[in-house]
Amino acid sequence: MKKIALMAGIAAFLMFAGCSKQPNLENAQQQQTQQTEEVATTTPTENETVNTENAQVEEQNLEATTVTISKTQNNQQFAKKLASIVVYFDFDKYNIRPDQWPKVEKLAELIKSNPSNYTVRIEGNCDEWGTEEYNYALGLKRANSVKNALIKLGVDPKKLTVISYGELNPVCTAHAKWCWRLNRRDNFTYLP
Amino acid sequence: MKRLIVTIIIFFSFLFSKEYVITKYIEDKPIINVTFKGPDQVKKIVDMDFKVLDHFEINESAKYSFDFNYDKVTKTLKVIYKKDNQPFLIKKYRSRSYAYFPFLIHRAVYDINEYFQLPSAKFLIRKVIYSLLTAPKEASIYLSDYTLSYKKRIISGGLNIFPKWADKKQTKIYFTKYERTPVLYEYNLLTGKKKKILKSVGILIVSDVKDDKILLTMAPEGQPDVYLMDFNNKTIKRITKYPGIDVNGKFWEDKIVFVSDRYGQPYVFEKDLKSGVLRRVLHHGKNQVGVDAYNKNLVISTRETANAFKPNTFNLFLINSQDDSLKRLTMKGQNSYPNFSVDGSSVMFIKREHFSSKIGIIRLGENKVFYYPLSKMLQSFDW
Repeated sequence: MKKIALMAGIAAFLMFAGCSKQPNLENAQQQQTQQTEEVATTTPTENETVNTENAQVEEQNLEATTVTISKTQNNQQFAKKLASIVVYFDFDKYNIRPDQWPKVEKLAELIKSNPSNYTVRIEGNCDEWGTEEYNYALGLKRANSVKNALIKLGVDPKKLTVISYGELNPVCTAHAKWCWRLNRRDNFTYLP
Repeated sequence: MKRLIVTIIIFFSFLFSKEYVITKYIEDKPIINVTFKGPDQVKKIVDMDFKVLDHFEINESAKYSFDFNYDKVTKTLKVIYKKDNQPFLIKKYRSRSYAYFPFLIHRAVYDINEYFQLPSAKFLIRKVIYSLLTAPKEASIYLSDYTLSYKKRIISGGLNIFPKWADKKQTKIYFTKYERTPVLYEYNLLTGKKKKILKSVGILIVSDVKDDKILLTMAPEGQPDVYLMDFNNKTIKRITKYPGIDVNGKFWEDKIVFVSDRYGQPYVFEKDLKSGVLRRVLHHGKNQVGVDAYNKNLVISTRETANAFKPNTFNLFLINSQDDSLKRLTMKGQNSYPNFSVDGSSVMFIKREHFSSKIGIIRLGENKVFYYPLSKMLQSFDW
């Protein structure tokens, strides 16, 4: 009986703690509450022994799990926001076009708004025109252009790293100008 | 003055030539007869070798005859050398697997070429190593013969690009693997052992190998430049320092040649390693994105039209520094990544067609080009 009461207490605590601290994680908390409730109702009543040490450990574990999920979800959301920004370039060019500047500014604000410990990998990409090393260097210069712009906009350089995929990461494989335009781009990837 | 001469030569070459013109160096080809017994698949390679080599005239009534016999069970090729129908030499070639038979055929044809002391045909027996894009950010490295008939995947998982032979015997390769940053590995084909050499931010490519020295394109500070790595004294020296793009370094006699955008567009430059003097090599085309060197010769891939998307976008040109001659090697399409064979007799290159590729082999002395298609996108190769 004591065990049931303890488990119910833990469930209530989790519900309360979860609701007050993590307003963005409604689904995850609901699942946890339901699981805890299920455990409470299916525990055999004849087993009267209670190990409080274990209970305490269990409570700590659940709490820790809640925090991890929250952190992971925040990171995932941040990674999604980063991935949604794509900066496009002209053929054989690596300077940032005027129409692409608002995206770079948005990117700078996004990175500055998240002070935790992570790296943003700026990935330079090219169209299919050219397999030479030059194409990889062009991709790298595209990545560097945005990196330098972000630093000027106040982003911590330690948070940024660059890589070039040349023509090896196409988002479009049609043999047409509109498709090549989509492949001449910088992507932004979250690295924990 | 040299620039003026090159410009005049280019002008006249375009006025009078519709095809590249290279003098054939075998005036009187040996006349031989070739017979074959064995699977059709194997015969196809025999026929292809003699066709691509183009050093012989095949005639049934020839004085010399070479009888090829391939036994699929024992995986053995027997070549009987005959003169006036009398056997005088028998050569046997054996492999562990059936799939390896193209290499046996290439070796046998190479030996016949050697028997007649004809110009080198080393390209036949060289192994080809190439990287193929299998999905975005996924490229594997394959081992093959020059016809791409034999195919063995040796490196897979993730992005593995720019394979380069590390030794003359073709037992080791260098390649770049994309991990958190690009990492350069040495891989031993005989032992299967992989050794990490170095890593660099952004880009890391082995451009050329000469004995214990390699030319690298890398960007430790995010800036792509050409570096010289010496394995003897374990040093890395930065060769170019322009704050734009410097890539694709190749050893060329006492100099190196490389591609740089220091004039606003990419062009090929040469740099004397002793004096440090820098000079532009070729004044032709809208830009020049790739180069390879062999003795006095350079092969350069050039974009010829202002419209980037016209059909004749990238073509290959051969330059001889001794007589300042310039020869057009391709006429149309997207031709890039030119690579001389070890004997300098041929140029292998990539012809891109949408998201598939062909490997092309230009036989410089024979004025011929052969293509071997691949269904996927070829990233790079070495042979």
